[in-house]
Amino acid sequence: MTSEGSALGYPFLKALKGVVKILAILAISYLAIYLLNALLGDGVDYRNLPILGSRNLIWLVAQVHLLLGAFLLGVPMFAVTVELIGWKKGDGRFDRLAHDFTRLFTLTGTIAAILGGILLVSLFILYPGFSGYMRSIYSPTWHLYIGLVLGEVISMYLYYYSWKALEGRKGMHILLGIILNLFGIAIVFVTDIWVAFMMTPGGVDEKGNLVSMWDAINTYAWMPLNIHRLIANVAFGGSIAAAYGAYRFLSAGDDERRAYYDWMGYIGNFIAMVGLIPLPFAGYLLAMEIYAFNEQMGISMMGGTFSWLWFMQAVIIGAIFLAANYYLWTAMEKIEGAERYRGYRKYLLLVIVVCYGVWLTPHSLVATVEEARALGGAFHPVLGVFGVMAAKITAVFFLIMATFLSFMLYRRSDKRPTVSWAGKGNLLQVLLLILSAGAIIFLGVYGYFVPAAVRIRMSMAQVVIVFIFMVLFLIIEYFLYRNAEAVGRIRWGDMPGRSQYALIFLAITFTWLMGLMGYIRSGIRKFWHIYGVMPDRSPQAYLPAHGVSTFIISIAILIFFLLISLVFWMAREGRH
Amino acid sequence: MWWIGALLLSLVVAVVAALRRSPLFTAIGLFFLFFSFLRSLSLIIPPIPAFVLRWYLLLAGVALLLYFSIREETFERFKAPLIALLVEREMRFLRVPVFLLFPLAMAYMAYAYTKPALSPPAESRTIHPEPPVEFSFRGKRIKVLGLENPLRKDRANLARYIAEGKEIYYRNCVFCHGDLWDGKGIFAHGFNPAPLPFRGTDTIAQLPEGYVFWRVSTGGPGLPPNATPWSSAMPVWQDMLSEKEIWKVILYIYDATGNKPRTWE
Amino acid sequence: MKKGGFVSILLFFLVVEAFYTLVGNIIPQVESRPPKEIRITRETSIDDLVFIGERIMKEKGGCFVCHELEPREAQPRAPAFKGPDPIGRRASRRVPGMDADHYLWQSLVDPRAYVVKGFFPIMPPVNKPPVNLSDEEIVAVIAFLESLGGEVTISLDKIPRLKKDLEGVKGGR
Repeated sequence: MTSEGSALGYPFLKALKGVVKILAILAISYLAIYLLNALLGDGVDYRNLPILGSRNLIWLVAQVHLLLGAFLLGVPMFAVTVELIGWKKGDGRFDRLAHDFTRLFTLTGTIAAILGGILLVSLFILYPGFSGYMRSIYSPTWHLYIGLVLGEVISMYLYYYSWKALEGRKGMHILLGIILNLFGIAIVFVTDIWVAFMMTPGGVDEKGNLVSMWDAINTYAWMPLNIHRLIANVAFGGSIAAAYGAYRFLSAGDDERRAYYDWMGYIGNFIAMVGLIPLPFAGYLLAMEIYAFNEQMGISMMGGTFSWLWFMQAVIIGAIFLAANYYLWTAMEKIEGAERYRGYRKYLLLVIVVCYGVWLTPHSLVATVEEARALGGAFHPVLGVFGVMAAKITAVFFLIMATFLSFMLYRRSDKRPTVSWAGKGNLLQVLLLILSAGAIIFLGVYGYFVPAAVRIRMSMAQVVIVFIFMVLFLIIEYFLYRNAEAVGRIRWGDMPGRSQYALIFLAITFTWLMGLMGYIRSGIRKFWHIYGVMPDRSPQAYLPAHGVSTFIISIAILIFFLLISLVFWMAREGRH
Repeated sequence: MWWIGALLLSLVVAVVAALRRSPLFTAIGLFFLFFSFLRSLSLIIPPIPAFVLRWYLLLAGVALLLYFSIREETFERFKAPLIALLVEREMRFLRVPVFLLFPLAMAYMAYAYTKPALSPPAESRTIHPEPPVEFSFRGKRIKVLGLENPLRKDRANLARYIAEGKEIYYRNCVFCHGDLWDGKGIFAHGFNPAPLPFRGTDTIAQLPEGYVFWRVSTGGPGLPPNATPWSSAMPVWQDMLSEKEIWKVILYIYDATGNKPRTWE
Repeated sequence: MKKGGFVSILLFFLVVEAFYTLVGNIIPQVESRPPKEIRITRETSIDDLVFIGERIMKEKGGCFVCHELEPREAQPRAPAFKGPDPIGRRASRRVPGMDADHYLWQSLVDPRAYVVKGFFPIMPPVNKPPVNLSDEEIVAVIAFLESLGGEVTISLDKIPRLKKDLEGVKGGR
């Protein structure tokens, strides 16, 4: 980047360019809506797009736009965190990593804005009735949104282009990054207003007239959705970063680069995992609010039309845990001293596979007629035991704990504690593990014998136990390994290709999961645009069969990855 | 039964392969060990439906592959026999049949998967239909709703009644409902639908005793149309047993299976 | 083609996506269509009313999300309609002084009035969005429920009376 001067005027000039770009896209979109409306004639509620169908177009465009948006918000979180760590640690690798990812901002932003424009135009042209109603209610928040997007663009350009200029004043630069993230978070919050209103509307009367603006903003699903999306963005940013590292590792020509990209994959995966672990709890909160808004909506989400998509979710999240652990286990091979912990891996694998198996055992089985006759019903006497919530929740907690332990083993691989109480400390940790695992199993088994309302409290207790276990374990770990002596070194870059494919797999799977969960979240409205307020009267008001929905999700994810590959390719090193 | 043989064979393969330090054959042995274990479970519990079985097998296969590919050195040994099969000169006599059999096996699987199979249509038979308001027992009208077992209140003689009920059960019921109360008596395999088990939580445990009394007294012919009275072989026991005898045998089946009758709400 | 080249990664990507799409296609396929409007008039026979009521409960009402016809599960969310003491019969006995018509109407539009012991008050009123049944549709639903083990006494003519009688009536547990 030779043109990147040290003068501070240069970043502002670039930011101005970004603002002009966004405003131009917005103007073109408005013009397109105006022209198309004039061309097609006003006064209809729906227009149908031939072949693809209006709904499928909105689905694809909105999904890809959302993923690009998530990337655009997740990566700054990732970059600023990494930059901060690098500044505090004085490790130049972190700064380079943060800068490498910031390079992707501007292009991704442009693509996301263009898709946003397409989404805006297609919404107003294909669903004029619905879009007009939303505009009538949310005009003020829309203007706020435009303002925030401009703020995001300005701070994004300033952050990126002032990297060199503010080299000496790192604190100032990180502050700029934090402002960028605040804009990003605000954008998530504003867009969530609209989505949450469609699911759990509030602030309007039965005819749909606006009664209270604040109630229409602060609906049941709004805050849980904000929290869920923010945490997911962290994990998403991390997993994409890891996949990028993996790709660069696989195509790297020399050892120095391989070492760097191996490390990049590790950091990305670490951040993704840290984001992943609290996600189930945020999801739980969202589900609770949906139940609080309308029990029927909650139940048809968990048990009705969508029940088999939760089976898919189990398949996918189990695969995420398996791949993440596999990556850590293969990564242990490059650490000298890890041979002390090799033996534990098979037990961890066993625990993970058994829990995975329990989790994906469906409650009501798919059986052929002969099988059903042998069973005498849809419930298997033994497998039925795994099918219920108590068993599944217990299995998930064990997956989380096993992943945590894999990471702890990885961390310990190159160290040996020097404190005098090392043996006792270790024993204490083992005891802690046995106690918490025992308590979780006990609560899980006990959950079979109590009514559903008590069982929910049981799973809350399990959450607390897992959390306390991890915190206490980490505290002991911290004191145990303070001033630990190194028994070997980490040979960064000495990794087999399949470990990198595990990272790529994680990124694909994570994105696919976002597509699936987003579909469920949106689909629980069924044939309503705005649940209970505005019915969808278009020919595509139905929910397609699961096979069709998963196919559309796959197409959306494919488009997203092709676009992201394009960004990575355009922003690759040495092109400037 | 042949699953037991498969179980032992795959155990031998897995152990020998592990001793000879061959990860590929250990994995194959373990995989088939797991497979035949799941299948032979059908000797003790109802067979695992194919849908779930396939998922378990897929999971096991992936887990084994992951396990043997963690370490580079193990993975090299894992791949070695496969690579040898493909490139080594002395393996060419094995290579030819493998290259012939593999596509053939695939073709057969595709054929078996797509070939139309004859399977009976699913029937929506109601197992516990709603009872009539009242029914006729040897000319006497008995109301089903709220009907209680008169013998249960006679606590002093309960043990005797149960013992007598046991005798009645073994003279009349055991041939179909089985001496383990599991609906697998010696005649059971001749009936479709199969006789109901009394163990478990979804038959008598869900029903009040008065309901069971109605079902025993009027048998298959007494069922309402939605419960397909023509496809139940249960005899009309009021022709063979007295009112008191039926109540005794009901006491016995609840006692023997440890189930408690449901109360009328 | 390099081991880690773009093409190999794209192929890997497609395999993973194909796997997930395959899973989506082998699970039981469910499609959810918006309910069809059914016209109910005074000329609709009782048999048709019962039939329409069952369809409304299955589709528009979404009743079987929680309720079941046959009591099957060990821990149901809501009472089953059939079984040893079906709803058509027990409805008239549930609340003293209330016949089946009144009791069922009340329980549909104000489900928290009388909650069956052992269950949570989770049912939404069916005459408001999102279920949003019309009065005629509620009559059809009641007709179906009454047909389960009881006698169908409801008719469209009774709507004004039922509404008047139940005005201001607050239920108990």
